[in-house]
Amino acid sequence: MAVHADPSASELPVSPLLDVSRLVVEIDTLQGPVRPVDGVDLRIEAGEIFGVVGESGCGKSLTALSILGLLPRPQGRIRSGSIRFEDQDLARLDERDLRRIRGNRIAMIFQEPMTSLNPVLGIGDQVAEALVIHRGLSRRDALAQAIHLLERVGIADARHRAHDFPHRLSGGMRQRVMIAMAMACRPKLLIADEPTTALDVTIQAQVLDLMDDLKAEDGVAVLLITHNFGIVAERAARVAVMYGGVVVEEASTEQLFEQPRHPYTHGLLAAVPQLGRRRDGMRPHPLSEIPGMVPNLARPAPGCAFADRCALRVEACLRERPPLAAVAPGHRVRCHVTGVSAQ
Amino acid sequence: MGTLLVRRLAALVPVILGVSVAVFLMLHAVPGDPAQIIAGQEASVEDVAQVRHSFGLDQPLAVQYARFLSRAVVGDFGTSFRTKRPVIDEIGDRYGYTLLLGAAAIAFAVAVGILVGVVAAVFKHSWVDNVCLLVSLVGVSVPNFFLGLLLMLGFSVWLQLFPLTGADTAWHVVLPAVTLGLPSAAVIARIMRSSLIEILGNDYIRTARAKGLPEWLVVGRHALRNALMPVVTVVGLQMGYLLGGAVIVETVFAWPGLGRLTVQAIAARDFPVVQAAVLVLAATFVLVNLLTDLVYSILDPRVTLS
Amino acid sequence: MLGTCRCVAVLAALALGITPVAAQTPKGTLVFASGGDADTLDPHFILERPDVRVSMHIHENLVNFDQNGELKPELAESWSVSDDRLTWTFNLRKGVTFHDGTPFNAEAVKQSFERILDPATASPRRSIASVISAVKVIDEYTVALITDKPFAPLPSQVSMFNLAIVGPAAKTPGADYARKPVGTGPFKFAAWQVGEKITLVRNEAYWGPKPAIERIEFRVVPEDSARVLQLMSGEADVIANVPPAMLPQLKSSSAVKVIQETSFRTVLLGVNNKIKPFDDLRVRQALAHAIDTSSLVKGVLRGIPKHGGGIEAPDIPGARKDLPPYAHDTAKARRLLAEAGYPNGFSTTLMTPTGRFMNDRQLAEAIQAQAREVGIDIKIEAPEWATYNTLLNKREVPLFLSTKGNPTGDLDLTMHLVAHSAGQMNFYNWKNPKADQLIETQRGTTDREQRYALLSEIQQSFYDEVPAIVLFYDAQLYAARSNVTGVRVQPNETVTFTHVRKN
Ligand SMILES: Nc1ncnc2c1ncn2[C@@H]1O[C@H](COP(=O)(O)OP(=O)(O)OP(=O)(O)O)[C@@H](O)[C@H]1O
Ligand code: SF4
Ligand SMILES: [Mg+2]
Repeated sequence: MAVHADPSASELPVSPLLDVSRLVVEIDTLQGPVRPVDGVDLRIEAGEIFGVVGESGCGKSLTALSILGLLPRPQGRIRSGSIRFEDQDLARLDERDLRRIRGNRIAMIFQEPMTSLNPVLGIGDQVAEALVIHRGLSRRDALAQAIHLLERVGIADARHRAHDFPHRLSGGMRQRVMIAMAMACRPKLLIADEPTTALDVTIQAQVLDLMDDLKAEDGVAVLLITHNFGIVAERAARVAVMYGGVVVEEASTEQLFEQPRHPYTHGLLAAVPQLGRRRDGMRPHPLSEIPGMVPNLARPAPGCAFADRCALRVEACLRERPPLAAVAPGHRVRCHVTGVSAQ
Repeated sequence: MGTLLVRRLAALVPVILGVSVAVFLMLHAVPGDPAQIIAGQEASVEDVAQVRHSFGLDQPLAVQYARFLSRAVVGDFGTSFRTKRPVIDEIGDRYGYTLLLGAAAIAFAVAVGILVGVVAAVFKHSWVDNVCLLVSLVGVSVPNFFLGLLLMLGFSVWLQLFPLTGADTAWHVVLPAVTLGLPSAAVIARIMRSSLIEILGNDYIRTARAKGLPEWLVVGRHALRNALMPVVTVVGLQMGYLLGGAVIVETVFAWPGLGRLTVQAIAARDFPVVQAAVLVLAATFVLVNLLTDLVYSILDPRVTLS
Repeated sequence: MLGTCRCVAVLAALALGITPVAAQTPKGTLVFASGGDADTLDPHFILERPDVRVSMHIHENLVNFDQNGELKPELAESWSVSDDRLTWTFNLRKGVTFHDGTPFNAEAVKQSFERILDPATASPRRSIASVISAVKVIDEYTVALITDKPFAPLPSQVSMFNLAIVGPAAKTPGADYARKPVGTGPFKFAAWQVGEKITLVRNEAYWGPKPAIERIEFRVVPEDSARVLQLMSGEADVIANVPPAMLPQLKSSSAVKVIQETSFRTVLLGVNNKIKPFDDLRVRQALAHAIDTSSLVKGVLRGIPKHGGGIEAPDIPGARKDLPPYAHDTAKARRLLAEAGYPNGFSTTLMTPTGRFMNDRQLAEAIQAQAREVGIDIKIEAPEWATYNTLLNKREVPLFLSTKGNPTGDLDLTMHLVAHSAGQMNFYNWKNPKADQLIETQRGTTDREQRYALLSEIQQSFYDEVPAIVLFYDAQLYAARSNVTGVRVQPNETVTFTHVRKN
């Protein structure tokens, strides 16, 4: 197959559901503005589960939040780049238009089920709220529908539990409520930011199974952010690996695990030996740290962000930022050394 | 809930009993012979003895207390040493005014405090916030009587919007209530601000925003109720302050409230009135706290009255 | 600090010229604002001035004082005493009715006196009437008061506010007379909003000249500055107890006028004659010479009150006008102290009330400073009023600031209280058998000049033996809107609005 001049354009289906391109997020800190997201590219197809992995602080959550325009205010903002979703650039929408999308076309669930629900409102009301806002339902009708949704996510006796307050529910139950809430308006995209990290293992599997079911039934695409390679391996069709505010490698799950290219991905997988046997029913393992320092946001390196920790580093790595280049169909890598197409 | 309420009300009894004993002992311990004070300097020895006897003050303390208690149980608090009127009437005349002033002051404090606090929190670190901060600083630091006189000068003498003193019409309550309530409003505003800022940083606020709720709903529906909880506690505590501050405000504005009556009664060693007034104030305080807990339990489903 | 702040706020307003012509009180209504709440309007129970001010517009006495301190007929048109000086006969005014329509007559007078005398009534001022042993109805309009011993000051005694004639309604059980008084006076009781105001309305059936105003509102405004503001803004027509600091500003305003009247009240530094070293006359004299009363009046009291040396205010009929204050002479004071065995002075305690009379606390401090000049080291104690009174009654405090007024304008009343060894207000422990004797004798002396001569002697002894150091005679400070005339501030510390006109 020929090398394409612009790998980001033609190798993938023409119009992805979500296309994040060169997204830069700036946050004001006491030390001055920093860029925790510094040129992220992501493409998510309708109906797929797309995994994003990367160690803590690499910018996963900020990327997710910028899609919904929920960056911390007033200190955070999208500096540049675009977020195309169904023919709109979310990065350029004003607050009002974004509000029409939030919880409606794109929904999000968060890591901490214990704190993500409002303790003083009944869970039924919290689920119903989006229906009132986006569908114009009366509170009564919305509540009736919320009860259906709660049933659907597996809350037993939903009719009565709908009036319960969150503190009466277990962590797994709450995450189910969060999912019901997110699914209320049948969104096209569900962003799940570490949805199971806080749950114990059996519950994790149940919640992930639920998301799989919803994907199958509603055709919703899922942006699944996690620390856990095991989860990605089991659930995602495609994966992006993030490091220091950029995507360093993007591929189908198969490709990534069988032919990892980026030195950082290698390091991650090497630290997780069981991954080779991921289909053996082994439980997924968390992402381990690899030696070296996490990049300093306040003083970003001019070249490759991973250069400090990279064994393959060449001279260009310190000077020049590597581009995200296609090495195979659907497989892109950001590296001066390994990012060269292997024909 | 109903039985809990009854139980909480029953807990009032020992409190009231304890207060009554404490007040009784204190009144008899402080120097100042009521008979002498009531009769006046120029009264003859016989006059004073006559007065002392007519008040029953020549009886042993235990007998006096027992008599007080046995009457109080059936709602008879005796007659005022000074005015010879039933204490119930003396207190009754004033209590309504105190409640009116207290309620108006707390309503003002809560309304203004919450409004200013919310505005400051929503616009935190902006000039709006700074103005709110400055106003609340002034609010807590200006003494009551001075504030009262300033308001009189500004709103009564100069602008002639409100009457100076007295309690004839509804307009009369405005300036005293503002004077009494302003320091509390300032405290409430500060608590409201910091509480709301803290609550707005919570995960469930992010959830609410992610749902597509407009900001006013996020603040009004999801943040405010949670942020109000520390405010409710503070309001409960401010009630105590209000009861104290009422004396000065009632004096400055010639408001015929219970605070002024109590201070006068203490100065005149009008024991029956002091006893009853303190009991009424204590009961009010306990009830207000119960009310605070009730509001709290309504605001926060995790809390029950216990 | 507190007081200063208050004054500053009001002075600032006055200085800024914030003195608008406010919504004036209705033409027929006089609004009087004073600091004190009334406790009772039943004359037989009245102890305090705010009560007197109201009651004396509702009730009348058999006899009363006129503006010049002379006795004048009120409910009695004339009176005479029997030859044995034990029976006082009063000829009553005819055609007078109480506010409830019951006729005023000898029976009503009898009932009124018998009420205060009856121990069951439990009047705290029974002693005022106790010289009267019987009341006899001679006929419908003639009544006799009988005493066991001759009592010359009886006519002035019955002018005392406690001996005003109460209506027969007072007898009805449960009538709550204290709240619903029924007198014969020019004004009728109308309403009492406790702690706020008492309203009186004109008695259209009044026997005498009817007042020009239709209503009086006695308003309670405890805060001094608030009262001044009320006057300035026109919400009040007359105010009592003007703070001296605000006098110059009020005087310079054309909208209001200051009414300054002398009073029968003597402010004095009491000395406990039983406690060492004050049992020694020379020490008391030394203290008197150490104190410079004219500088106290000028410095602490802005020169408002008059000063003198006699125990009775010189305006009281029969009072000595010729007793000067002890000369301020520190050398003499030191010499007297040395003679008494205190060449290096001594330490003692001075008790003062706070806020009971004009600048009392500051006065105590000024005295402390003056006494230090001659080596007397004074420690000031300022307990609250009730405690102060109790301590005063124990008569164990060496020095104390105190006052004595005179409600009837007759020297007998106060001389007996203050100078008699059994006098209830003899806080000085002053015992002078001759004075006791003179007090008794004058009571039996109906000839006025003769009686005054006896009383003069007592005043001289009091002056010579210095059981107390007279500081000054109090001034009464009222202020009124300038359209108000006819406010009569009496030296016995009452105020009459019966003759008020508003222009
Ligand atoms: N409000 C903020 N102010 C300043 N810095 C922030 C803020 N939010 C995030 N950051 C910084 O931005 C970087 C990326 O944060 P982000 O939350 O996106 O990381 P993450 O990849 O989601 O990590 P984790 O796995 O721990 O959730 C972090 O270094 C973090 O310190
Ligand atoms: S660009 Fe250079 S430093 Fe960065 S990962 Fe590739 S080889 Fe390593
Ligand atoms: Mg995160």
